[in-house]
Amino acid sequence: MGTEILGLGDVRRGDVAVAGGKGANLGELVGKGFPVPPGFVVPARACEEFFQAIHLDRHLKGLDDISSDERDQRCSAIREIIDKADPPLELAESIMAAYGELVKNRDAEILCAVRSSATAEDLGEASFAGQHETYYYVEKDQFLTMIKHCWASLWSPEAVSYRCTQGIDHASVFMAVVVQEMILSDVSGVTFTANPVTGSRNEIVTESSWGMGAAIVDGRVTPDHYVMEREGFKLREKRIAEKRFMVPARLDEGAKTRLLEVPHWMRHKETLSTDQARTVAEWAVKAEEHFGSPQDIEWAIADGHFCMLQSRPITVMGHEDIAQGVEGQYVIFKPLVENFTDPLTPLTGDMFSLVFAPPLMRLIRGWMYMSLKHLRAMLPFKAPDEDLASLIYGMEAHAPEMKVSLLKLPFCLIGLFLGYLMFGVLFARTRRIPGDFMDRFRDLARRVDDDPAYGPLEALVRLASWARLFDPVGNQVLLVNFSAIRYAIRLQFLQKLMRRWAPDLRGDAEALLCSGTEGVLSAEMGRGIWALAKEAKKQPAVRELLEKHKPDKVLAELKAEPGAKEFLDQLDRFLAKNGHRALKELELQAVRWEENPAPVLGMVRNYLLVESDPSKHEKKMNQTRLDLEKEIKQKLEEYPLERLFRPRWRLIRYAASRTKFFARMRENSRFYHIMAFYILRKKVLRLEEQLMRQGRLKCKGDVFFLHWPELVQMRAGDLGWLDVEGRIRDRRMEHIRLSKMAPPKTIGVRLPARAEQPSEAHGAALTGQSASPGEYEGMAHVILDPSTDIELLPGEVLVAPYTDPAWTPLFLTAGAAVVEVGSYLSHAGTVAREFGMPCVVDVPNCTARIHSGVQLKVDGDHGLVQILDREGGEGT
Amino acid sequence: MTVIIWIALFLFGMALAVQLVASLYGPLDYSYTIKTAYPKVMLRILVWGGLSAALALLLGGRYRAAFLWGLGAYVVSYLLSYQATKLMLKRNLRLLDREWRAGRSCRAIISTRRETDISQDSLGSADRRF
Repeated sequence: MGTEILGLGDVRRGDVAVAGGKGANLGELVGKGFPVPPGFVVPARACEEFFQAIHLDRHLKGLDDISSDERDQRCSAIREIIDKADPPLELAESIMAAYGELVKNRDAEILCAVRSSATAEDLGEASFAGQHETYYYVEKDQFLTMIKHCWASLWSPEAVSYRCTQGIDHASVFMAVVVQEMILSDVSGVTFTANPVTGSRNEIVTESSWGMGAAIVDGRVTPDHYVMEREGFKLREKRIAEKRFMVPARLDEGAKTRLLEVPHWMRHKETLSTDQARTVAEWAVKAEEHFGSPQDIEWAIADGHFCMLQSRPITVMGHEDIAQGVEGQYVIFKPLVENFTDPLTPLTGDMFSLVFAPPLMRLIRGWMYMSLKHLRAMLPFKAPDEDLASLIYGMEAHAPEMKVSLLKLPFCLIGLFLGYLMFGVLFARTRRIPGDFMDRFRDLARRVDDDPAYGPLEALVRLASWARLFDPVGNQVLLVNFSAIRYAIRLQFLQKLMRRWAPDLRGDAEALLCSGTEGVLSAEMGRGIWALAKEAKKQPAVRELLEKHKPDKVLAELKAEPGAKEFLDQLDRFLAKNGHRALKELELQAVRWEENPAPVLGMVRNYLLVESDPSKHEKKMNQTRLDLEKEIKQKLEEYPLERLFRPRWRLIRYAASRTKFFARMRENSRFYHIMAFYILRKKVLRLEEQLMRQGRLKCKGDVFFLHWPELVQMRAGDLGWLDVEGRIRDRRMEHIRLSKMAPPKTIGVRLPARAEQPSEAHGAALTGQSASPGEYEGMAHVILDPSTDIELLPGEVLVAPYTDPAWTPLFLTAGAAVVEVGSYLSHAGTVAREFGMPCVVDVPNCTARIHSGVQLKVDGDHGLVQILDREGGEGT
Repeated sequence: MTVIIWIALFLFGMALAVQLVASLYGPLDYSYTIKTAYPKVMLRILVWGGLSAALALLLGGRYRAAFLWGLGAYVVSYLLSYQATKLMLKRNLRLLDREWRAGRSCRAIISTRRETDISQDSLGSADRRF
């Protein structure tokens, strides 16, 4: 085979050197009778001849030995040469002839997909998937340009960089190109012949949505989810999602974005009938049988006909893959991961990296880790790696005792002194400042928001990063958050005092003594939601609407209801104060309440449904605290002079008040730096809008999957949509894959057995970390997203992947809580202690292992969760 | 002994400067509530300023110099630290850029593991026609 164009049906799996991997795979499917869209292959030899004709080899000299900046420039120049050169006339004619064959006997022209298909000849294991481009919706007159783009993608910085790393001769790589009819699908999806999450070979999982498949694989829509048994293709599970967006088969003239809103009537409609789901599963199993390993197939249904677009082996990324290629020892940064378990998007990750100075903190596959090596240098402890990792990871209520290293002590003291010099002023400025000192940050945030001179980076620097010399301390919220670290020291001091003078008190005595702090903004936010519920109760029409409609629909209904004016006014006031908050609020991609108040309305609805009064909890808590104080005083009376001057009680009270002071500072500073993140999000969205207007970005939300240097280059016009489209797609897919796993707690170091917590200690018992004491037995209710699943019946055990303030209303009705991540100081633990309910955190995969409806026994004292055999039953 | 006292006074000067600088920030930090907070703010400045001045006056000769050097060194290092933070940001940006470039090649390596179309090693093990 030379440069002649090949029909897909003429290619077989052995033709990788000619047709590239993708071409050979598709040809094999066509040859075996799979319903694959027709197409042809421009062979790799054509690419080779084209490169020879333009004397590309002259530009390749020394490409391995230059800096990455220079290499990028050279790559850009090479791509430009390829794009500007004309391919041989003979080739152009052959391509047009092949296209003519494709459209023979058709009424009209067709749109095609032009896909890079890398050859692996002479390169052993190496290939270039993920680095090369694919173009969709290509019309006949764009073929040559797009084919040249595919060839040029051999000279993308990623591909060149990879070849340099692997020592592959640049002159030896060529590219075949597959041109295939675009299937204008009504429904499309992905099917896995083994469950990619659980690994079960008995299940076939299909995800489908309206329109083209890009929206699913890119993670832009939540698809319908079907699980079938392999034996007999019996439907085991069906979850119909609300499909808000789709990539339509045809783009309207002048359409700015490919992602369109799905008409309302179609949003909740199932995309596949049972028969169709069965057909899809059957084809997937046939592909698996043919290829001999579990497959992940992409498919489409157009005009009732099934088409297979791609079949590839399932690659299930394991836990260890997250740490692949990472050298050193790292422990996950728990304060971040305990608020939400998903990895950060690339842009959010970059922003974090800018604020948190590497190398102490490092972002690994979207999760923030702390370097053990650098922390070890800062801590004066003599301890094995495992214990140190446990100490850093644990953040338990009672940290293990560690021996001080005398050798390191002088260096640590010097370090401490330098730290004091560096942060002493900040610490002194915040020592006794009134609680409302950060309120002015709101004005600063508004000014930065309104000022177009502040781009995202400038906004980040101004609001969340480095302070100015003459900034009031209230404007330095992130530094204030850092200075509130004294909370932990004061708490430890309090614990020591209590253990010394009153050792027999209840397990959560210190936490209880420090509860009931006034002026905590997130607690006030909870009260604000409760006040909204009270207002809704006053208006029967409002209450009815809130109970009748789903939270994302009810706002429009409320606006049309004349009696809802007061409620809406109150909602506006609430959002003016708390609108920057959101679920997963540390993620820039997270939609804020101000942008979509549905989660707030959902929480109000939850309050209405359960008829609970949070003030009762507060009163109960206050009473318990007063009783505890009385008990402590009584216990102290046995010590000398205590009856007379109460010196020990005064000291304990002082330590508790300082702990409360810094705890409030910590919580409130978080409230404000979330506000800074919202301003940053707004700046990024404005930039995205601008890039979309210029055609450099096509879909909303894609901007979060760019890295900051790419965004800078896009803004400068050095990168365009074609440069980033593939990267964004890859990153979205990887993000979805990573979101389905729990990040490893440590990398390069193992936690000791006590902290590793094998999640099945005995029988059906899961072990975690105790965050709030007490025992409780009740029915489990697994909630993955409080914005969509908010109805927790009184007494049910809340089982959640993580919690943040948006979850608080659910704690009101829960009998106990079991959370996948977290620590003693995490939100779940704090709220559970406030409400006096047992809580076990850090229970790996509990949302997958526990099913709603099973009976659970939660032992908050020992961090144990037991799955009882029987289902149903009432909470005790 | 004199050297030790000299060093101790130098460090003490630095530590006192921390409190003095913090107290001088008072009018800024409390500006939103200065009408009620000014006595506290003034008192702090007077206490820390007065203490520094009194010590500087009371200490004689070389000791006074040590104390004042400590005080001055801290103020200078404090001002420099603001410049350092700017450099730190530039460094972080550079690191981010470097990591991004390195990440691109790293991603390329990972992507070979994900390469799918050409790695159907077991092709044909169940060669079946429909």
